[in-house]
Amino acid sequence: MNAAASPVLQPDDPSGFMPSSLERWLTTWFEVVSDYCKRERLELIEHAPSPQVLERYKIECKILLRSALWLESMIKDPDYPARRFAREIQGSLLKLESSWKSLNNPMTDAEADELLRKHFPDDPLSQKLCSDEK
Amino acid sequence: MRSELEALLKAFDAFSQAPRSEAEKLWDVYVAVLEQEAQKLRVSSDLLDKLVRRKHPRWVRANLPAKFPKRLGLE
Repeated sequence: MNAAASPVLQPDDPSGFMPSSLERWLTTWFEVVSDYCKRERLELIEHAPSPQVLERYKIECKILLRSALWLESMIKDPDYPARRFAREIQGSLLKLESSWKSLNNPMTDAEADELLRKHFPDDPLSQKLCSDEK
Repeated sequence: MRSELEALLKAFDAFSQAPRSEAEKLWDVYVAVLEQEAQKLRVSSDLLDKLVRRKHPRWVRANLPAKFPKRLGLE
């Protein structure tokens, strides 16, 4: 077999070759995560969600987080041709991990209020953020 | 005067709104503010992080523009 006819791709090939299918797939994945983050902001942060909406987000976040962890492990492989996306994958992973932590935060509002009163007693913002302040 | 509590919420909010390419940098900023404040208050940064996450939505809703259709989660 003629080696010149089928060039072996090197991990950090100066030509920057990446299969277009992989690039399209990653671009779509970034769009999906970005869309999740936008909806999360609107539906969970800017508006008070119902318990059903919260549960739906937990399921969606779990699936996206697993895909991000899988991608992160792939990107560490020196043969993976899309290593230039490492920073963006890492950033997406951080955002999904943070979303997961917020969705599963065990601290109740009452516990948070107690901590605010204890540690920020003279801060007007603390009083404003307490649940019984309207 | 800008409060330490507000600084924490703003740092977390900056991270949560960051584009993916800036997320790592802004996460590091949040963690630095969190650890500094936790040390000052003599609490764990994990506890303070939970507090910030619990109160962040309420703080965001309180700061939305006046005409924004907001529900504060009080109903």
